Amino acid sequence: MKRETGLCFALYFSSFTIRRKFAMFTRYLFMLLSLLVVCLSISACGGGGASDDAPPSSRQAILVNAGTDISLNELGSAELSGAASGGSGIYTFEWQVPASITIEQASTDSASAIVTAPVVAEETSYTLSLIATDENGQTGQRSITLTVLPVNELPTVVINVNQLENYAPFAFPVNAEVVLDASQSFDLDPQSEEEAPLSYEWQQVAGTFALNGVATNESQLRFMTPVITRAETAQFMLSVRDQEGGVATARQTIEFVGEEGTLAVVDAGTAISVFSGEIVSLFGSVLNDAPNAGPYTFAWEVLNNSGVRVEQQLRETQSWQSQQVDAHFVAPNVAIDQVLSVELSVVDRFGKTVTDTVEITVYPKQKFLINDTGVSTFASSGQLSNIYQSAYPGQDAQYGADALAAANVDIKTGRGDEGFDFTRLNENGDPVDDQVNNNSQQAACLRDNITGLIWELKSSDTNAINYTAQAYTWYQEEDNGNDAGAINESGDSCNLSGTRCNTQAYIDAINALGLCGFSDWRLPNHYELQSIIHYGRAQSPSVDIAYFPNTGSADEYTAQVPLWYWTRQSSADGVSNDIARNAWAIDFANGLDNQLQKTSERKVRLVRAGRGN
Amino acid sequence: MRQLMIKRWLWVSLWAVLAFISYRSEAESLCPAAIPETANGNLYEELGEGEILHLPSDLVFMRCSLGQTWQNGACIGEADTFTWQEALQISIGYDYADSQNWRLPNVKELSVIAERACVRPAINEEAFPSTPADDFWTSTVSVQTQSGQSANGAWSVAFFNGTTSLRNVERNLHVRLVRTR
Repeated sequence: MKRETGLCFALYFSSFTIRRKFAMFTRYLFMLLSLLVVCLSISACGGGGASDDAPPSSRQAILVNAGTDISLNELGSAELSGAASGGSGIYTFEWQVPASITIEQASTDSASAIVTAPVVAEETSYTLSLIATDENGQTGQRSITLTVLPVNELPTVVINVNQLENYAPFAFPVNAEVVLDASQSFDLDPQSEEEAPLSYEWQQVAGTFALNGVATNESQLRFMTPVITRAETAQFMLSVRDQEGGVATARQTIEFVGEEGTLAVVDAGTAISVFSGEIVSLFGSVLNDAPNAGPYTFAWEVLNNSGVRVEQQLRETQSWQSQQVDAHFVAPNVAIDQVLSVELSVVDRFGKTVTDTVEITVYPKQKFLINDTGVSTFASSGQLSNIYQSAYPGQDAQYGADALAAANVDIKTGRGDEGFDFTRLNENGDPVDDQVNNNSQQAACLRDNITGLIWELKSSDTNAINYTAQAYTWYQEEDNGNDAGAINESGDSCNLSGTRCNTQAYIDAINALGLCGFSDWRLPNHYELQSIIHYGRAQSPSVDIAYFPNTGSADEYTAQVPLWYWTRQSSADGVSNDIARNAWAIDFANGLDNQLQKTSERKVRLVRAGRGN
Repeated sequence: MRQLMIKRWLWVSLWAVLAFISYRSEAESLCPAAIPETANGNLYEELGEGEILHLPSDLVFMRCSLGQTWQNGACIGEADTFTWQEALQISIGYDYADSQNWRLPNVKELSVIAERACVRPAINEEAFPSTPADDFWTSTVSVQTQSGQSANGAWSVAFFNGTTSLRNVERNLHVRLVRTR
């Protein structure tokens, strides 16, 4: 039974999937599904309905039915079917179609096939021919017309808007970059893959105009927000045109928050650690895209220690868009590590507050192994001051025992100017002064409670062996750089019995005397002698004058004459033939050091004990 | 026997060459014999990452001068120079070896690493490689005005021989930072 009494022609638009050729759009795989079934009763046409107008030739004994003419939208599909009669045996079927037509025929045993319409710019007709061949090689042919109608899907507009930290979506401060990004817009039915599928046209339709000099025909619209005082709404319209001229539009509304809504960026600086009593440098800053948001009100506060007072210094500013807010505070005296939360709070002229916090770790008071310098003075440009200078941060006065002394953080065993810590000893080596009774008259020696060194004190008594004005040549039989120095055989610059006024002779005499009960006195090395230099004294001598009396005479102080004291250290500088003819000495008039000829006569202050170095 | 002599001669030559090479490499710093050391290697403990601990003071020093980079036990590159104000400002919050507590050393602190047994530079070169034999800033301002020194002077340590001296704050000197352990 090859002849169909009723031909049911099913036409349906198959589901089809268009995958955009750009990989970035693959997540936008789009599926359209539609199904249309048209059932045509062709019983009225009889078996040969399509062949009425073409009588079979003598060689065309085969009658072919190819169905009716069909009409499809572009990319639409239809199922074709057909039948043959008048031949003998089994037929084979073949569809002949133009090259632009896609046709899928499962088997030549049947005329069933699926035809898919091409993309067209205008209505186009195509001829589809069905050829049937029977077992004897007899053929028959029938044609139908496929009419393809153009369809243009309008592009789909997608606009992505950048979002700024600390601002709501679609809200923008002044002088900020806005990026309206429509590059993810797409067209489902581009005509050509060689040309860009879409073209763009942006315009601003509301709000203070912001597109001067801005490219408005690209997929992204990038512009800077205008500087306006008050908040307002701005709207932008985008027209997207596809290759067939179809235009879709979309609007995007954003908010210009204006200077009144623009937030300053506040930075409270770097987290550091300090010791109790030291001065903490704080370097805060305010950056603001709004040029008229100032003047600001600044406040520094230690959130978790109300006893700490922070002093701030404003630096001059050229613009409210950038302001430095320096500050400092004295680290509190803590028993265990304490982390201070230090907040910088900034209020702009519109009343908005922005804060930032920095954590400062304070360690308990420090145990010092070397002496501080005695400097508690701050320098700025050509000036000396007792006040912290934020433009010259991290100076000597900010750290160490001197800073602790200035902050009344008690670290001392004894007493002394600035960070110095001395205890006077009597002739037997016993402590003779205390906080209550400053018993300097009995002092013969001085203990440095930081270095552990015990120092000889000088006398103003012209007959005393340790009379301050006495001078000695450098003479040392060991560790002397191959030059023991000068014995000074006929010296008359000292009160030693005998005539040798050299350093070794003086050491021998003091040890023989057993000063303060000790007989291991020696010349200090450079480090030891430098340790008692008081670099914070503006006048001669550069030493704690209350604890080292008679370093020179009053006249010598006034006249600022050098007060050179010997060290035991030969100088490596100026050595010739491996012989060091100079030794280091320090001038107690000003703290400067130098290498002096061992043959020259200088002052001597002996030392003992200590921790070395 | 003759072959042995040649062998010995070769050995002697080799040693002579090696000795010359080692002399050349140590010739950078001049350390006359018989002058006692003041800051030799026994006083230091390596901490890694370009830091070194000076044990007697308990201070941690950078092994390189600012501008140089610590790399495989050496200080690479040229040491920078700074005015006194620049040196102070750069020291605050300087981020190095996981610490932001670096500061400019004061005059006594910087002096403790001066090796007075050597000159050019007067420093232990194993602890502080490639140290310029030149002036380094300290954080200590000069407060003496009596000898014509106004507040535009600060103390420096000259590592060509270890001396402390005053320098005008506008001068450009090297910087080595320190932190308290």
